[in-house]
Amino acid sequence: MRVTVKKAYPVFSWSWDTDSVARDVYCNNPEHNVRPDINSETYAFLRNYRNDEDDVCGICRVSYNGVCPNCKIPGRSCPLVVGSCNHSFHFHCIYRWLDTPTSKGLCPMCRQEFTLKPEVLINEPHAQKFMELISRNRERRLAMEREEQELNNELREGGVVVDEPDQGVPVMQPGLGSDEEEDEIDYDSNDGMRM
Amino acid sequence: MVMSGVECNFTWATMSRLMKEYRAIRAQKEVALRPSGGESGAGADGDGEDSLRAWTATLEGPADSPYAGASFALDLEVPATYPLAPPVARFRPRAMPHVNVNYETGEICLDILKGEWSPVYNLLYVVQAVQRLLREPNPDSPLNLELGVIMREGDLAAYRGLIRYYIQQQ
Repeated sequence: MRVTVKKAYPVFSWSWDTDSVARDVYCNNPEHNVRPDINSETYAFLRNYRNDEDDVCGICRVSYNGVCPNCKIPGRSCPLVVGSCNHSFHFHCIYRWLDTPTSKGLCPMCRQEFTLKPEVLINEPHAQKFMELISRNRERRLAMEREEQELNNELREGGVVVDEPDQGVPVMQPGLGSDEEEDEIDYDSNDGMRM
Repeated sequence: MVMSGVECNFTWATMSRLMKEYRAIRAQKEVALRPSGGESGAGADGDGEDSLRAWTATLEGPADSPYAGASFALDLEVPATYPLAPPVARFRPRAMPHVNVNYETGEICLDILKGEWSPVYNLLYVVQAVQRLLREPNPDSPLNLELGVIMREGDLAAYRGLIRYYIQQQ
């Protein structure tokens, strides 16, 4: 019998290698600082398990290996990151979340402060950007706390009544408190406190 | 269902997530949650593109609560920045006598709808959380002061009685 190949369709697949599950398993190994053998069967199993199609980004609900809703081409242009808490998200999704004041810098899944898991290959290109974001968030939170403290102090001293249910944006009652006190309160920097 | 995303105020990110949620919600039977404009895709104001902006859930009063036998409409409004910002959930005005609901406006005091929101939650989760609130009212953050005071005093008979009274008024 002779077979003539008329057409061939090469098919390939890829998936993000989040590394973390395998590392956790290998942590029980006394030589856990040795990089896991990526050709081992265990590793292959874990990788498939990890990148199951049901495994979706918690923010946009699209597969890790797919794209976040703002991207068209999966892969390098829409990367995945792994947090120290082992929760993974599309880089764009988690970055947008952490950039909102509502996030308070916390992981959407476990509410621990979100930082990139160190020594994970896919995190490396983003380490710098996340460091900047995280330190910006910390500063913002500290500034907010400081401001709240100052406002409270001033209110206690000046006896100014504030009508503030739970919006976080103080509303000054007209006619109460002296002019100097009002000047000292910086309303504009309260912008980030809503929601 | 027609989706004309071009004129929609939602970003594609919000729209595609809402579409996923819509499919998942339609596939389940436990929670009666639908776009307010109905299944046709026409929104409350007749605009197709806004059809996933407003949702309505029907909550049945839990059997072991003063709300047993009654049902309540819960309206959800999805903000343009969803899921980074929570949906606005409220009962209809003057329809829900509950410690954590403002009776006049229907506003709900629930942590996950405010500072504790996370983008991994979804509309279904919000409805289920409000449903839980019917069974487990939280007297520490009352929006209905009348019920809050009675509840804190521990007068369970008066508490149930007042809720039943309000419900029968409707």
